Amino acid sequence: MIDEQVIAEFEKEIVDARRKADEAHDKYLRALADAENARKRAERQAEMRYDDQRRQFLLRFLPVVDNLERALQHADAADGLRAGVEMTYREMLRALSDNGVQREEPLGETFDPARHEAVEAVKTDAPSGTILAVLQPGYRYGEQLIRPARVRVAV
Amino acid sequence: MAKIVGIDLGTTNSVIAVMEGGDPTVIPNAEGGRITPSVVAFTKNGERLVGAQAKRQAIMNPENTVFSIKRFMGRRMEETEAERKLVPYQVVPGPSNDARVKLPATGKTYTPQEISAMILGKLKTDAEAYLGEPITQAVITVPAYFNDSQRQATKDAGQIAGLEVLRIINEPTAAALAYGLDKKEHEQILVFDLGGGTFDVSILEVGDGVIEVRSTNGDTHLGGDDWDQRIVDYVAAEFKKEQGIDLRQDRQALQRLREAAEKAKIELSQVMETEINLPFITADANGPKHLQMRLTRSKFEQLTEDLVQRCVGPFQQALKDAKISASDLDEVVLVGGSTRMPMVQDLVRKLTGGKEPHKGVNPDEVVAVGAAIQAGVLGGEVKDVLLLDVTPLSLGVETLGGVMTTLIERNTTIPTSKSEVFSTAEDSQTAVDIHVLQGERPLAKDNMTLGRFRLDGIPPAPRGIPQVEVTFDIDANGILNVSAKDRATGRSQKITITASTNLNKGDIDRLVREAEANRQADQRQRETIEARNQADSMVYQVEKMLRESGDKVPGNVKADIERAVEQTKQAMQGADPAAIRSAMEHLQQTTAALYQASQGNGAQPGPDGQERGRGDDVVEGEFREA
Repeated sequence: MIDEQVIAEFEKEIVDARRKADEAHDKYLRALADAENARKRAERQAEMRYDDQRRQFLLRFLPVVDNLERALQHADAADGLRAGVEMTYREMLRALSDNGVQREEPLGETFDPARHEAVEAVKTDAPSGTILAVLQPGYRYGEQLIRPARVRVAV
Repeated sequence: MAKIVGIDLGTTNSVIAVMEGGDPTVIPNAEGGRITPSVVAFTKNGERLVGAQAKRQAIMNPENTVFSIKRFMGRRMEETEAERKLVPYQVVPGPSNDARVKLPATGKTYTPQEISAMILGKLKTDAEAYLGEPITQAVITVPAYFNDSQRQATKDAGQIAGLEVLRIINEPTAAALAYGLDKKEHEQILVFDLGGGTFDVSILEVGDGVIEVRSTNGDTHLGGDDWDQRIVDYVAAEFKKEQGIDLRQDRQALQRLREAAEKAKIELSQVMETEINLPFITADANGPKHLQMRLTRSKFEQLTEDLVQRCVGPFQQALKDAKISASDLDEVVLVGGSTRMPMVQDLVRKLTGGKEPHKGVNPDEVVAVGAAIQAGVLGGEVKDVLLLDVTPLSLGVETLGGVMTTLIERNTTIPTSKSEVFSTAEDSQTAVDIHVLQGERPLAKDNMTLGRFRLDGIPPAPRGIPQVEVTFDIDANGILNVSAKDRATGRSQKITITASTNLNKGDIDRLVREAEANRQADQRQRETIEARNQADSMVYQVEKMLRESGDKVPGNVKADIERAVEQTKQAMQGADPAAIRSAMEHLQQTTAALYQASQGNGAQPGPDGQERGRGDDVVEGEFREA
């Protein structure tokens, strides 16, 4: 015959031990999750830093492309120099596109603030939000917006 | 435990930060920016935009694009007369004559709290996506001059956005917290905040861990944009003088000029002179016109002298209101991107009698960083971090040539465990000594010995063949267990060291300093030892192959090789790593013939004379002979 008091003590100890084990296990799981989250975040941070560096790098170069475009707009079609500048410009665009950078000229499209920046608004017959002119082309790298296209929009 | 964020809800831009692993971190928004424009817009079809996207469509939708909402927070209609004239959206009175905005796109009237809540909502959503967990609590900053009604409005904005605002703290206080100034005793702190469009100067007093705002002053319409405008005006005027064309009449030209002006301003904080280049800026009947102009820092300072002077009045008044003089100031904190300009820093230095401002935290982010630190204190995060211990010094073992090979780097968070596989340095070596070391110096003798033990009973084998796995394990209490195990026999030995973290702070600092001071000499010594180890390994291989190839090698070649071996051995006696390496190179050249003779006949030394390919996890350290 086992003393009931002894049984009760054992039961209490078991309950206590289970509780402690549960607590410890919970802490362990949280620590694991914390570590896993930190790792994931570090990965994403590295990726974001890389994206940001690429963007900063490209942003510094795109005005050069813009200026080539401006030069072409002003050049005389018959000029041999113009042909040379145009070839240089095309080569530049190809170099960008070979590296995943897309040029965007959204003429006639509907304005989208995720990709376009309105710099002029004009009242016309065109439906509101139509892009009437692209004043400066936009550039993107895959999903990443490098620079929004600057546009004139109908309102 | 859910994270509590710190938010700098600004007039033009907002920043959100959080404590991560004990450090404040700014959280980027969904577009990847660390700063989110405080702009909210409703498009014609009722879509709500917040941040950069709202800003981009502002010109086509001005009456539905709300910026500078902070200027209306908790304000009554009659207090906002001047501000109302500066915004293109409609401001209307609410039931208690409070200022509200009316947006035709939705036909609704919004309180500034609701608009601010939309900004907070974007910050919250983007931060949740970044952290991967919901955010429910925040610390939000407000200007020191905000009254109760404005503070309550800010708190309400947080609540509308689904954030429990645990505390509203003053922006200058947050900036002081970012530099840990709350730990100072009885000091006077100047916070000089020059942002994009507002200027605030505050005098704080710190004591007993409490920061109190003694006085505040400023100019609600002075900021970096004014500095940009001066460059635009100057360059446009010069261009008009030369070319007769006013660029300010041409929208596109003006936009390019504005960007170039901001870029020039930023550059002039680093260099003394910059160039503004805008080819094809405009055209007339004679063809395209280019803008090309040099701008020196001194010219820029001359153009903006009066703007700088506008900072002086509020500064003096703040001192006067705090009833102190400039010489009573103990600390200076700079906030806002415009304080990067040398002319602003010079002014602050001059006004404070040469006091150096605190540096290191990005002035655009310092307020949010301080708010995150406050959030961390409230959430117990800051306390939590102290519970986690780190190893104050590196731990490792002594390997061939008296070098310390580190297994656990200093500042590693414990508990932690690390294993590496080592081998023997001599043929038929049957025991290895494990010499456990602590310290930052490359050589074993310069570091502290924590303990030694011996693993014996290793079956005789050529050097480099036995695999001895050494494991360092530090438990949460800082107790270090070092074990060594021979993989072939499974024999193992271990030692427990409890004193590994018993050094006091002074000892640790001294050891780290010593390592720093001796770095160059240590480096050279380590190079010498490494070169010796490589040479030793190479000599061993060559001699072995010479023995094994027997008569296959012609006598004169053999004599050449033996001579080169002797030369290498001699060089190894010296302490010049370059001499040892050149002897090794010579040895390698002379043995080319030997390799051919012995091809398919065993290993040959790699290009650097080391043995490789003994298994992926075998490191190139070897124990000294037991």
